[in-house]
Amino acid sequence: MRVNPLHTALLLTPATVLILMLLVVPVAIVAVMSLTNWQFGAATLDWVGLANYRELLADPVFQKSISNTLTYLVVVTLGSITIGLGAALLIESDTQLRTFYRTAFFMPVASTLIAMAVVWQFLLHPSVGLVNQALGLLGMEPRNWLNDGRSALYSLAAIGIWQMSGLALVLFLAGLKSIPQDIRDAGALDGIEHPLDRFRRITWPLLGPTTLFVVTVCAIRSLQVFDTVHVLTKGGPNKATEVLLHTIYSEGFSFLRMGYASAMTVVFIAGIFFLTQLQHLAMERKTHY
Amino acid sequence: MPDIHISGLTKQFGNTKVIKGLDLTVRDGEFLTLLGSSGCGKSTLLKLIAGLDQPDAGAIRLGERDLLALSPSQRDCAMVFQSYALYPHMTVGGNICTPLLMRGLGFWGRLPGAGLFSANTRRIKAEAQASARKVAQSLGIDGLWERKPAQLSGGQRQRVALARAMVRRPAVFLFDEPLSNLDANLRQTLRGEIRQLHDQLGVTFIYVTHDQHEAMSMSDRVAVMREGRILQLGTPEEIYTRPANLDVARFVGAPRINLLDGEVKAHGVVWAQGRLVGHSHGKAGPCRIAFRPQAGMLEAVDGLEVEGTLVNVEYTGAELIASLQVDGIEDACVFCFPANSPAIRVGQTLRVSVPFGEIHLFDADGQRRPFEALPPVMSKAA
Amino acid sequence: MKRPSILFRSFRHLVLMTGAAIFLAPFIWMVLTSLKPADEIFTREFSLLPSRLALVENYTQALTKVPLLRYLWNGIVVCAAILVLQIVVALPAAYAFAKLDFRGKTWAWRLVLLALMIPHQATAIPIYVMLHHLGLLNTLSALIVPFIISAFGIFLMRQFFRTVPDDLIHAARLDGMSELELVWRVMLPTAIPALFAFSIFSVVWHWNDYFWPLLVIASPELATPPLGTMFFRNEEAGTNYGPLMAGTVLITAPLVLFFIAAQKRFIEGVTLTGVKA
Repeated sequence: MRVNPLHTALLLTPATVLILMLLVVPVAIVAVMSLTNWQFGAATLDWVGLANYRELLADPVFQKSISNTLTYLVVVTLGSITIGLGAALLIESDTQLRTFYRTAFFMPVASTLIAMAVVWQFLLHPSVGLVNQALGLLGMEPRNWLNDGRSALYSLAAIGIWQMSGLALVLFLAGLKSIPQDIRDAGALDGIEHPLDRFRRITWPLLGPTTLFVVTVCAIRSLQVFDTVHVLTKGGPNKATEVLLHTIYSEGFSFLRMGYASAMTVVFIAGIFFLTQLQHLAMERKTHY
Repeated sequence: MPDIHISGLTKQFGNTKVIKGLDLTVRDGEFLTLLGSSGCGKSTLLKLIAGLDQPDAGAIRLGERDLLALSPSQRDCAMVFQSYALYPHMTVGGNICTPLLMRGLGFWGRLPGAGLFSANTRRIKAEAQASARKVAQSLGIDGLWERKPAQLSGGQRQRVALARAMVRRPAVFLFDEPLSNLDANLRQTLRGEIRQLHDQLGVTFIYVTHDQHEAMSMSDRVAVMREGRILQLGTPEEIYTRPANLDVARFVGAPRINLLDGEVKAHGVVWAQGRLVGHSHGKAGPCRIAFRPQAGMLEAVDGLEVEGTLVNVEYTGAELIASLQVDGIEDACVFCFPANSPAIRVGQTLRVSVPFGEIHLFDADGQRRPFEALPPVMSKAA
Repeated sequence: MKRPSILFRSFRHLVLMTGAAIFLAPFIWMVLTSLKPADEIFTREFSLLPSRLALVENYTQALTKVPLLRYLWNGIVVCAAILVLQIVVALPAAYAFAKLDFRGKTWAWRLVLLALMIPHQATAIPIYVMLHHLGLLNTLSALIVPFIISAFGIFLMRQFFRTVPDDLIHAARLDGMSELELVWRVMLPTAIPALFAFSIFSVVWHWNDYFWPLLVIASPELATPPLGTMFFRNEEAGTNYGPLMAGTVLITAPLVLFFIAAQKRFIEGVTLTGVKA
């Protein structure tokens, strides 16, 4: 339908203008800024070309940040989908208390992470925290979870898994529901009866696209980790929990080196872009069967 | 193979009883169709026989063996589903081989890579492939071996589903409305192929459908079902010519059987449309008279006469289907006349005769009553 | 489905119940601690329930130390404003993309798809600078303005609108409606279910956003719940756990209660995406 172009323009203008102004142009500015050494508040700036990127490659803090972020991403993604898939399979296998279990696992996803991070800080407290007290009951040594360089990142990862598993669970539940009962029936008649057989030959293959989708969802969210780091460890101890967004934040808004932070942002965008492409691939394959 | 005996089978979902105390004997080697509209319980019954669901009460025995104690794959039944239920991630070959692999390989043999270690596993796999290939060839789908289900047409998928069932050489074949998703021509072809398959294999086929044409044309016996019960079990001829009750009479036969009210008076005399049509033992009272559309004749013969206005005429090439609105009969009476009948037009008054022998009599509850047609001589109105 | 054996049922409950207990533990502990007095918190002993109820003290302190209710109010105002503006901007555009033809439609749509892939943190630096120059830092506007445009909202609504029959629109036009009226009188009512899910998604997302308020807000009176929590924690110097937990209970309660009340819808809304974190 073609209507008066003026009317169409009226419908589209706000959205288009805002997309340009608030999304596209700023990203372009970030890209351009990454080629300068601008500092916030400075009156002038210099073009430095790819110098920022060269500096990034050599910057030990940035290296550590990337490596921490990737470690966090892998641990949290794997942990979340394992727990999510396992719980989904168990929940689906029977009818009792399904809603209760789903609610319990999803609750962390629904809650305000910052507030719960504060709760976790208390839980992980070296002496009065629940975790160490519970360990004490079991006869194990308490640890200074968040302040010990060896355990800090993994503690944050544990919180990340706690927060993300419910999301994986719900996505897997939807995926399991989409496996037609007929195929399970056909499998039963063919002799695919043992749960492990059924999982390997029917459930897992047919969940493939869903699994890929869940992996990318968890990976994208993990890549954007910031809240828990800023609230609990500020990147420490000794950069043990420094992550990409936190480094960008520090460089850009504490040290005010916005040119440099822009270069990091470009790397960040590249990472997200790559994962988003994977996700689109996954979504397409979901309709493949 | 012995007969399958089903007795007292009951199944309920939530608060609805889907199958109510059903008894059925499926004879060895016969082609039995479960016929009924949606919700009558036919698919549920099939799933209970297959072991895909458990009944709440009742027994299913194969000769002496209690089938209910066995898992689906142990019952030696194969099933062809309406939606084909092919494994989407496997090729055609993989689909057809699966039942054989599952049966032949034990736990260790099924582990991935088992073929590398065990010559026995390799042999079993090779044998499975060979058998599967043969079956695929017999159905003409050998050329599709490497394709995935998503790349096949409906008819091809159905053949793959059939092959997967056949490859197991089961004792019983179960079909759950396998042709509903196909177009009319394909349906006709496959109907013939399935019937031929039955004659070749000589194995018991239990077929579920809502299409009475399919049921009548393919089966040795038909079980007409409604609301979880079997209304009548018999050969297609029995079902058609001697329907046990009104539901069966109305369900089978196209166009639908015609119905009108009648009365059994004293001494078993049956009256309809103001005249005597025959005799019937049993209680006096209102009754229902039925006759098939094909029974109506334009020539005056000894029989029940109905006269009315033509409200619709359809020329199908092979015949004329006429709808007649008759006084005293609520629904229009439908008749099928041969195509070379004298021309008739909508709006015209028509008188049609139905020979007494073509009349079916049912009591007020819909159950069949014995009926003696009036002999041709004594047909004048009293 | 074969009825599972008692053994399996028990196993399933055991595993899932343990999991549920672990996942719910932080919430339960949070509530329990908010009821305990300081001496019971800082003890080496492990006790589940408080022996003395310190509910009144803890919650009073939480509410008075920092403007907690103010934080919640700010959250409501900001999220509501964002949602309303998002719908006002996205709905007409989605309608245009779904039902109208115009020159440059393909390119415009590509623009939307491009926008979908931009993570929100990526634009922080330039928008921060822009707000600074506009003098809008440390205002509620700074929290609202950057998010008025939701490319995801446009995407979602367009998909929904495509399922609306064209005839409905023809009828409306024949009745004399202008395009703008069409959007609000005809398309909006049909889009209510999708809008509902989107609303949940948007509200939950922005309610929980910490990164952006951290950047642009400095005064506690303007803080949203996440930022407010941080102010609160810093005030409490990290040792006054009783009131601190009381504070987090108050801050978390709205979303959690909403979740429990409308679980199915809530989950639908949040997982609608998966795309945008």
